[in-house]
Amino acid sequence: MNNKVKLKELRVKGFRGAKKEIWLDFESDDKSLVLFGNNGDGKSTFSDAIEWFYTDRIDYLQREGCGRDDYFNKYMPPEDDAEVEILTNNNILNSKKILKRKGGHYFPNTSNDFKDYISNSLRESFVLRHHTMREFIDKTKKEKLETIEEIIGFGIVREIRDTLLKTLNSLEDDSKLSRLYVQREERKKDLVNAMGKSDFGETDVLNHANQIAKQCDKNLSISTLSDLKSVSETLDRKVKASSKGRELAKLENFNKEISKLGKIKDILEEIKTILTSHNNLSNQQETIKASAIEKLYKAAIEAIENKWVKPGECPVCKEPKDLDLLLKSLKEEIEEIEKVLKERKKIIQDANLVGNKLSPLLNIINNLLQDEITKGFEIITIISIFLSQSQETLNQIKESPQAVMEPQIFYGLENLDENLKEIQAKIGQRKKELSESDEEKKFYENVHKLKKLYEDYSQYKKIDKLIGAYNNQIISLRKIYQDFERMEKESIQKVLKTLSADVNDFFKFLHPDDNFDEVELIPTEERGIEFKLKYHGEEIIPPMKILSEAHLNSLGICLFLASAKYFNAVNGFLVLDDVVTSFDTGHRRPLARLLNEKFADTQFLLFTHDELWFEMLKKDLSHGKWVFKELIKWTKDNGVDLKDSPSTLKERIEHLLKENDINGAANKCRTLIEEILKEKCENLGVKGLEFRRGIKNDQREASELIDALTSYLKENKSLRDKKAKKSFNHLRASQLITNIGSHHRTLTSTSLSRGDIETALRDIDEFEKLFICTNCDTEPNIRYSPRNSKLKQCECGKLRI
Amino acid sequence: MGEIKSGKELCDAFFESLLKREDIDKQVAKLLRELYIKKSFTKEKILNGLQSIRQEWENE
Repeated sequence: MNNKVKLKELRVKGFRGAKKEIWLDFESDDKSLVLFGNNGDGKSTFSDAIEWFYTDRIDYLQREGCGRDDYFNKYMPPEDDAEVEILTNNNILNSKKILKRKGGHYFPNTSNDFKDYISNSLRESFVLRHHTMREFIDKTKKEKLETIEEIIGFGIVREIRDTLLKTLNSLEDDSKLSRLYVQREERKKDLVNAMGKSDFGETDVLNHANQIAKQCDKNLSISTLSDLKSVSETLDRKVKASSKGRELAKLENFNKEISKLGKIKDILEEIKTILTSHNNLSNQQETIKASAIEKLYKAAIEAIENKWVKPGECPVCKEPKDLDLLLKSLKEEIEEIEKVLKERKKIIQDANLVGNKLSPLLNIINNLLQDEITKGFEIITIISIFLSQSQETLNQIKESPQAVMEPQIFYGLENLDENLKEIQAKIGQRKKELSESDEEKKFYENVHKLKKLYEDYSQYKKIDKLIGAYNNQIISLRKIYQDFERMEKESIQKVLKTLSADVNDFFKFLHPDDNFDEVELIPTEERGIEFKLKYHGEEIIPPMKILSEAHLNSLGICLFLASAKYFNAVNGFLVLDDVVTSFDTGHRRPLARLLNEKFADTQFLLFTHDELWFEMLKKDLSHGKWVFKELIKWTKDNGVDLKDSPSTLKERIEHLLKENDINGAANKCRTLIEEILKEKCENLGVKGLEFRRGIKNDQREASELIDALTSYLKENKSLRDKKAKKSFNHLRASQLITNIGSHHRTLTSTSLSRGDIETALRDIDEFEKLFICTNCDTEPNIRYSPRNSKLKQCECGKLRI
Repeated sequence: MGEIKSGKELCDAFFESLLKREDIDKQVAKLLRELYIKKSFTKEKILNGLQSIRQEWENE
């Protein structure tokens, strides 16, 4: 951790709220900083500057529709550039970043070390803001996983997994592979028909070939595929030596091929079915066209869900829209588009399959068309036209979702079977004319059979080998994909386990008495992750079911800190911009202790508008390791401005009294009384002061606190002596006086006197003494007291209140 | 980050281990590893590579 980059100085000029040059000086690179400023005084100028310096953007402003023009200070000279400069504990990484008025930006430091530093910093998350701390918790399970994957640099893993899956799907759906299956099936059918066996191996083929060869010549023998080839070629040469033999072989071949044309009727029915489905779907053409803008819809959904758009404005047309309704409507549109596209995909797949069946038939018909034997048979021409028009129809279906007319030729095949039989009869007649004897006829037939057997089987083997090659690759790729996915899951689980251990540790640190346990991030069934926790021993998932807003915010901080601990390898600083506003008073000090104890090596930039919390931090945090600064009220002439903060509120009141600012002192006095009361209530575990949503939590009146404390003491019969009662009454009176002084600005300083404030300070001292043990100098606190005990004791146990 | 490996470290180790695998096609493993190393790990390039391997098979 010690080698990580920490900040020495942050300078901002002309950027956001800063008009003139203003700088945060961390005094030494080890020191953390607490910056107090009222809302609107410019605290976020510094967190914005850091975010822009490292990422080129300010995410939350971008989501509100603000761009680079909004990064310039509105009241600086219009031609001036804006600057952010970061000085670190490593001098070679120091640089300004200039936001140029005329466009663009640049770093004067162009060293490779600095470039690498900025590039590596991009992967880290070091700014947490009040309004973004719940972002992760509110994300969907899938988005949570994607966010974690981004944080831990798993973007590359996701890309590779997606590529593997897409490749595997493409290979499985390859049209060449489906064509090969059809071709192999055809060859197989021919072989089954030739051998009269539904199942066969190479031995069966060779045995069958051997039998046929013996019928041609008893001396012939076939025991290998090469024998089959050589015998077949020898016999074929012998047949072709006579013209009669050639013609008989050809007729035999035609006869077989013509019988295959019979399946055209089945193909016709398949094409008609595809055509009907296609034309039905063409009624939804608009949806199919809309698929072209599916990406735009998805981008719009993402923009709305992530609140990157202006509220109430359509992200595409910029017209006013109810975004909830728009989101619902876009999701319905996408669902409809996906349904139609699925149907269309199925139609295209079917069209490809039928198309594959047409190609071999076209070859047959082309051969037949060129031969004298089929002359005068109109059906051959009809089939030829049918095949080419069917091909054309299927292409039209595949190319466009437009409706396609059924070709007229589809009605010309009604007498197909009879017509084919007529051709076969003519072939039979011609064969009879050519055959001088049955023996000769048989010989020619056998030679043809052997030749066909060899061609079919060698083709079958070749296709089978290719299919095998495809399948081998598919199986390998599937295994690789599955293993990769498993490795990814295991790694994510490991990360989640590590993160969960810390989130659980931090969450329990912040909520020791709230009965939470086993806070975990767990993978969900569909690719995603979710928080799970135990509350009073009962498993709760997701945590929104029972957690209050304050608890959910706290969970957001815990996750941010845990992920920074593990994944911020370069930078050793974290910016927490106004995050404690969402915490109830009881959990603010544990947060300070958590940062101090568990992140001793981390440099924090803690920004707050909560004065009480600021004062509390001054008390709790070591002044040797922390710097305290506060913002002066922002003006358009000066912009953001800073001053060192007096170390205690009492010192500040004394300072204001010296400057004769009685109302200012009264205001701080009121804050001091509230701070002391809150501290006492918190130490004693006074009930009835639960967290309130938003600003109401900060506006809790001192009178409310003093009433709660009084009730506690009454109930526990504690501090009931005269001296204590008197001190309580004095504090109540001082609270009333300072309240009037600080809220009624129209009253002149003569309404309240210096003496009033000095008396109030004395009352406060007296009141505080009631709670301090004279023996051990500590205050009674739930930390020192037995669980469930009514009275709380000091560290030595002597004072019990 | 302790024992947690970065995405790149995981992918490097995965593709390195592919060549030692007995249960997957060596040529497929080699192709994927080469494309990963060359930073050319895209669907199109993998499919082209697989097609070339099949072509070699066919010509054998």
